[in-house]
Amino acid sequence: MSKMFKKFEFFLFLVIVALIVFFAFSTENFFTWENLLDLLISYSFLGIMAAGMLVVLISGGIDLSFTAIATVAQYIMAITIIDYSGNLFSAFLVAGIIGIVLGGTNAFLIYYLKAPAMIITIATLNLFYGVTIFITRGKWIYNFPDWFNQSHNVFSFTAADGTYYGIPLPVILLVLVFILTYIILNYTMLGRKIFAMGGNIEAARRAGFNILGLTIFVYSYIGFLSGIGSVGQVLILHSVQPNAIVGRELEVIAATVLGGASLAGGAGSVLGTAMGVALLAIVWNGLIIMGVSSYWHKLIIGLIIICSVGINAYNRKRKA
Amino acid sequence: MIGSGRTELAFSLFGMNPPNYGQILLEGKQVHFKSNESAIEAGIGYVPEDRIEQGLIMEQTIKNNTTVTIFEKLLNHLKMIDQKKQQSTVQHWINTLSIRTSSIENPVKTLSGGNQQKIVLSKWLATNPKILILDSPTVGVDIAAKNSLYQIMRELSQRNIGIILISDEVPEILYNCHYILLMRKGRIVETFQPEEVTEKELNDKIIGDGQDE
Repeated sequence: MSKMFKKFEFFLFLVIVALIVFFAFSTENFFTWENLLDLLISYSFLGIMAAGMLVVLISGGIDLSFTAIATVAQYIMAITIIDYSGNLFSAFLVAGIIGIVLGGTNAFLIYYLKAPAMIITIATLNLFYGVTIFITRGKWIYNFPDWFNQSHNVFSFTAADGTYYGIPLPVILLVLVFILTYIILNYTMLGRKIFAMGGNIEAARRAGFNILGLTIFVYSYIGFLSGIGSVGQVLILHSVQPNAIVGRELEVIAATVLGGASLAGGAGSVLGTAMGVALLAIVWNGLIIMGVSSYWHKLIIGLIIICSVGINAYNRKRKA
Repeated sequence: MIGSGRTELAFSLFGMNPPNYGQILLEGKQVHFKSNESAIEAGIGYVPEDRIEQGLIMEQTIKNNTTVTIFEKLLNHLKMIDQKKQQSTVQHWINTLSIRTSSIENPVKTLSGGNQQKIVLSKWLATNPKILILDSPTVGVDIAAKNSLYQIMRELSQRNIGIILISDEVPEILYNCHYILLMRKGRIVETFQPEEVTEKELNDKIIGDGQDE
């Protein structure tokens, strides 16, 4: 199986390279340092959520509520740091805990109601989001303390020639999240059990796995990542908006599936997911720079996903 | 026979079906299993009736399938899976049960029925069980592989592993068991030793099952 994925990942890699070459020659502004960095920053949040989605899909589940979890986490985080002050660490801590609690709620509902995860998380998407909008009345939040707005970059310094350098915090976060997810999935018992559970839940149950515990971990993990990722998002936008994240669930799932994760569970890789996100980001950005009407964007993304799933299914069938 | 309650009984022994009454004795001591996790810990293994649906992760590697019950024992001091230990454990079982495959990285679905069953067997043997429950282990397995499974069962019982064989194949029961328990409607209705019955008598008793009522 790993051979097949390596092959699929190599194919994805070639497509990405081809797209970069295509956009680099057909537009002036695509292959510039500023554009690529902008791309990385603006898609870092999507990448972080995709890492969480990867773990959920591998376990054989699905989560559609994580964008609502991210929104709840953003509002509560914003209110705590504006009303009670705090620091960057406490902002991440609050958002992370909110994510874990709401993700854990999903896990309990899915496990005890024995209903499909998709139905439960569509319900909690509406529940979490609805309650948030009701309480906040959909109000935008801008008035962040200065220390918060200024913590966009880390390791920042001004070089001798006066040029300012810095690594954006959301990008660091993205890299850390990918490394953490990679280690969990490939080197820990937890990760191996998540793969096994997604491959055949009945076999996993009979091997003595704690299915409830694994379910709680998986949904809390995507909740946690959505929570901390959403703080990174606020650091970029300097505002909390009620409709900035909800509605992007399918984009995240698309990127993950594009990267080779199976909706049936038991298969997927961090490298594939990273490339799925990259591919989606490059196509979207390239089309905008080329001036292609936005009506075409979704159509083209849809076609790419169909091709990718088709090639993956074909590979799988041939190996069988 | 199907419907006799034999799988339910096996489930109770394996901690997956709390018994209504009665007690379970393991090595003369009474045990209570809250879940199959605690049954496995106490030394009980259960090779299920349907290896594809309940035993194996068909798409995943032989390596992962064989070690799925013993991940805990493969951890290094960093609490990570020790890859070398995992490989040597799997190789050990491949050799011991003479499982035919070109690589332990191949998905289990590439194996024949008999070799698949040996993978299920090895993942339970890896837990070092005291009691091994085999639920219809030779269904869908060819003759040669059947004989090699019987051979393995004999070797295991010589190593003092208790084997509970659930089956409705008369010769299989007659030539591999020390005691035969006949179940009907959730109860053990008859107990005898293989020397006391012939194939035909045993067959009649089993078939007699359905004609009683």
